[in-house]
Amino acid sequence: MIENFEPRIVGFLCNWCSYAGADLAGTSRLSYPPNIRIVRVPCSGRVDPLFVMRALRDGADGVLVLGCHPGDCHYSDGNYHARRRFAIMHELLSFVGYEPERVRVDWVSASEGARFARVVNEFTEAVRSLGPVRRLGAQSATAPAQAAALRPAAARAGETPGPGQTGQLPELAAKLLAEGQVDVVLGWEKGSVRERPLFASTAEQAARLIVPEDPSASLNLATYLHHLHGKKAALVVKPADARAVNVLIKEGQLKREDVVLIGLGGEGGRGPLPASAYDFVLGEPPVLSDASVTAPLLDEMESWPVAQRAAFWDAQFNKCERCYACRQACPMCYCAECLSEQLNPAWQSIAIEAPEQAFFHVMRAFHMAGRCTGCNACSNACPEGIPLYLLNQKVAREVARFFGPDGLKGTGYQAGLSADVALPFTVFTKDELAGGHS
Amino acid sequence: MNDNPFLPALARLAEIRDLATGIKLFRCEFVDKETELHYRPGQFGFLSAIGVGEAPFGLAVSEARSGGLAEFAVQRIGTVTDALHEMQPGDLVGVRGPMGNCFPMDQLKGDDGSGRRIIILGGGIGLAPLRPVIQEILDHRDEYGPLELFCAARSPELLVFREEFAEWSAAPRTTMHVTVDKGNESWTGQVGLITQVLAQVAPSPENAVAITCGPPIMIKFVLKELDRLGFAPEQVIMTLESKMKCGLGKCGRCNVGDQYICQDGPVFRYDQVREFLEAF
Amino acid sequence: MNQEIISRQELSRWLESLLPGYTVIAPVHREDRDVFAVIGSTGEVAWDAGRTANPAKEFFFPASETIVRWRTGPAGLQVEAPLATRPQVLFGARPCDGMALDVLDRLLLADPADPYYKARRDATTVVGWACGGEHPGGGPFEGCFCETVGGGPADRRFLDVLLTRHGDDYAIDAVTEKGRQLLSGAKTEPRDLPAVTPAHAADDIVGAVLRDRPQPVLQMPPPTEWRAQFDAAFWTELAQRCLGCRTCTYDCPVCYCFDVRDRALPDGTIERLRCWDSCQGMQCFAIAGGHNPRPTQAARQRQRYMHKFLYYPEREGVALCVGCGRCVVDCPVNIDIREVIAAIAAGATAAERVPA
Repeated sequence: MIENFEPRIVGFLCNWCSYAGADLAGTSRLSYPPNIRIVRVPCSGRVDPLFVMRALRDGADGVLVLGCHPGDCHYSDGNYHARRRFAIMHELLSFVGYEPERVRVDWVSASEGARFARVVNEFTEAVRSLGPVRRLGAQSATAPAQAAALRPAAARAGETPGPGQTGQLPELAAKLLAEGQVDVVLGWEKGSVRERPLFASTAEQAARLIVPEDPSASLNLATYLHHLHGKKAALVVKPADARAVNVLIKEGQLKREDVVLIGLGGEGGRGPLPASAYDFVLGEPPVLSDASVTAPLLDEMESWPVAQRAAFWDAQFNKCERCYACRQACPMCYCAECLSEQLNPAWQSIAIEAPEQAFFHVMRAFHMAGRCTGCNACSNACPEGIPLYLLNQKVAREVARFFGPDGLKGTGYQAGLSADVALPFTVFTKDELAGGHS
Repeated sequence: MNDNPFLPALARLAEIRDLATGIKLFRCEFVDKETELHYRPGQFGFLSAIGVGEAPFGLAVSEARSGGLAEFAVQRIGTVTDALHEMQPGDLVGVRGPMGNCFPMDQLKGDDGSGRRIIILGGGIGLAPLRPVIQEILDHRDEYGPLELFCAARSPELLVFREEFAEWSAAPRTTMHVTVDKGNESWTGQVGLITQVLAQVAPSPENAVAITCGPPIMIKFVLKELDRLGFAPEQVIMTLESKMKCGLGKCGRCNVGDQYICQDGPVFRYDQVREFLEAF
Repeated sequence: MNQEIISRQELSRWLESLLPGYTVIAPVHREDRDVFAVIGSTGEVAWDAGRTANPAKEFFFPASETIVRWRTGPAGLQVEAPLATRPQVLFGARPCDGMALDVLDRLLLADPADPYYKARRDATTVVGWACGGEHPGGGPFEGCFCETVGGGPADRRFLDVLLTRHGDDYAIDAVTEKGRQLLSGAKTEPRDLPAVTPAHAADDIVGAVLRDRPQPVLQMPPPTEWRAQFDAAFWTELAQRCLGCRTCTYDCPVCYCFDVRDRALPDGTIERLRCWDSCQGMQCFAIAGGHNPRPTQAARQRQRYMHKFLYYPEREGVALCVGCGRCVVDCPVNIDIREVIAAIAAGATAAERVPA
């Protein structure tokens, strides 16, 4: 522990309860450490996890988020949403190497001046004993010996699609085009160094269509759905891609009748979706299997000390150049203006350095909560070989731990199993996640 | 100004004047009294809101009338201009310049000294980089031919330099047309798009040169109208703008084809850039 | 012909001796790839490295650098424009990496010179490795095409020293005075070896590379051909699969477009940052107020290739490309610059104007 270390604490306090509680502590002459700098917000539901990550990135040693007790929110639901968001964010922050004790979410009412003082006291001492917060990117690199272990294909048991079967794809595509059922068939063709997406709108182009040799190493064609400008498309999809389409339908980005899904069959379609999820299946019916997240490297990393995870991610963030290939390859990233490039307010600077990289990847992973279907396009697109899927799968695992298939309290949530499943951050259950988070 | 072309010279805002709704005029006095700014009409500079960033603005007054200060008209439209508009007189800014090429004032005088007919069309804040041209012509009136000015804006509140219109229209051999796309209760002047007024006035292209500056959409339609009136591309001059980050031809993005707006421009003859104008 | 030879052992010893006084950048093996990185000891050097995944440009033109710093201190406002002055050695550069520096010099050192790039450039000595086909990591590498842009696997023009590997020894060619000075502590001995030129292609190392190349070598169409295809529908079709991910521009040794923006640090210091930008990003050309002259990926893709093969050659006399092939292997959707060059050479049809 460093001598005379005074931790810098940022506190986000909701106006109606916790800020009033802080006021009461003051007027009651209850002492609490001066280390905390308070930012008043209308509601704990207003606290975007982005604020927390930014505070940590910029050197806050600890971040405290206080709201009204669940059930007492001035705006009825705000703190229920906050509770869900921070349950996930907390696990994600720990996974990227922040000690869990550095971020605390708790509830303080307007009449609880003493409780406020106690919480701040406890939190400040807890952070003091941790020492100063890490500088992102500072711990350089002993990268894991097995680079192969970083590859997404090694990650998920239960859904490792085998080689695809092109089968009747060219004939099917030609038929769909000729009959006017679609304007374009999005599939793959042999390229000069690897397979590449093919937008087939003529018979000649349809004849070149193939399915990927290794679907787990390919991109997700659903990402092009945002750029079709009204054209009707057929997509060659592996199960994770089809699940992505379901999420997009749920999010109102397209209607099911706007897209024709051509699913990989046999081992290429190994996953949770039955043949009925697709309009056509290439070859044998897909092999049904669970797609819950059981990645060996993820399990291993969860058992590491937090400092080891910090070093791992520092090495990875140091490689990143923020080219945004991950974001561009992802069908879920369709914001007209990404938080990373927003100028007003500027959440990030343009600097290409590890703290900014970390901020971007953590926030993108958080924004994938309940939405990412594990297609691995992000990791496959990354020119530096950064195992981004680990972040997304960690978040997916936590979402599955806390929320059930219907999005409410339970376990086992999976994104995109159908286009009707509620998105986890749009709903809540009043008596879930009891106990606060610290 | 100094050896490092990326390093701005520090200046204080000597005067901030409201020109129109959301448009202010900034007059900057260099902190280092030895610094002098010598430039020709059409050139531009970079104004820094230190801590936010910098952006390019046309130098909006002729050097003769500048009093040694760097003068920029700034429309509030993004993060840098927001920050500038929040400033008070006396605040510190950064200035880099002058950059770019300039209007071919000698060519405007005509080969045989007869003076070409000069038609100037300024839309909105586009009038600001044209102002030094107008001022230079007025200050050397006999050296130039007849001048026809078209000053336009979307609405009366967005007309800039209105207080100088009287001086301009009173000058010898000068005609002025002021128009707005849409009037208001107190507006008694002309209402109509600049292209409509241009079509009505229908200046002859003979021995004439047209100079225009304004929003891209305005330039696009003015070019069309001038073409319809018989102006050859060689007779049309414009100043273009683009996103710029250095003003030195190094950041790679301000090009129209192989011409850099910051080096080969911002003043271009239409025939020089016609081939590669994109999404105009 | 008589050439000076240096053994791997001596080369390593000499390089190690430079370490206290120089920042040494060399190919190292990280995870599953070879990258240029600053080394702490010559034990890190990957002698069998192939083409590095990253170009060397970050050591002359960093991804992110502070070009001005304003600090308010007790003595008032202090302004700094920090310049890097520590001597550097770029070791293991390929001829294309050397050529990249010449390509960039033509713009960045032209008046007014970019002082930040110039400081690093002046402070760096470039020790290159010829590409040879008979040892691991020799080359040619997937996707590379340096001859198309006037380079070659043993091109010594833009290097201070050229090393050509022969087994565990290297023929050492001190090209410039700067190179000779750096080598002054190295022990070499003369040996009779085949000359390293294509004329002796049958026997020599580099010839093996040339034999393995696709024949005929891809021909670069002249600027007039690129100009003629400005409006071709080809760009729209090409850009359909482009994700706008910017990988190609970041991995390119000569893409130099940059962004400049200030940031305020918590202690009140203000830094003006200069960072890599990319013509493939949607915001690259957009101005405040929303107007975007290149609003489609097709327009942005066209800008990339026109900048490389029309605008830069017309202004600076060389293509903005050294044929290294990194963009070829890194593009996640396999947009292959060689195919673009070939398509223009074949006269891509101008069916419709690229939509605005």
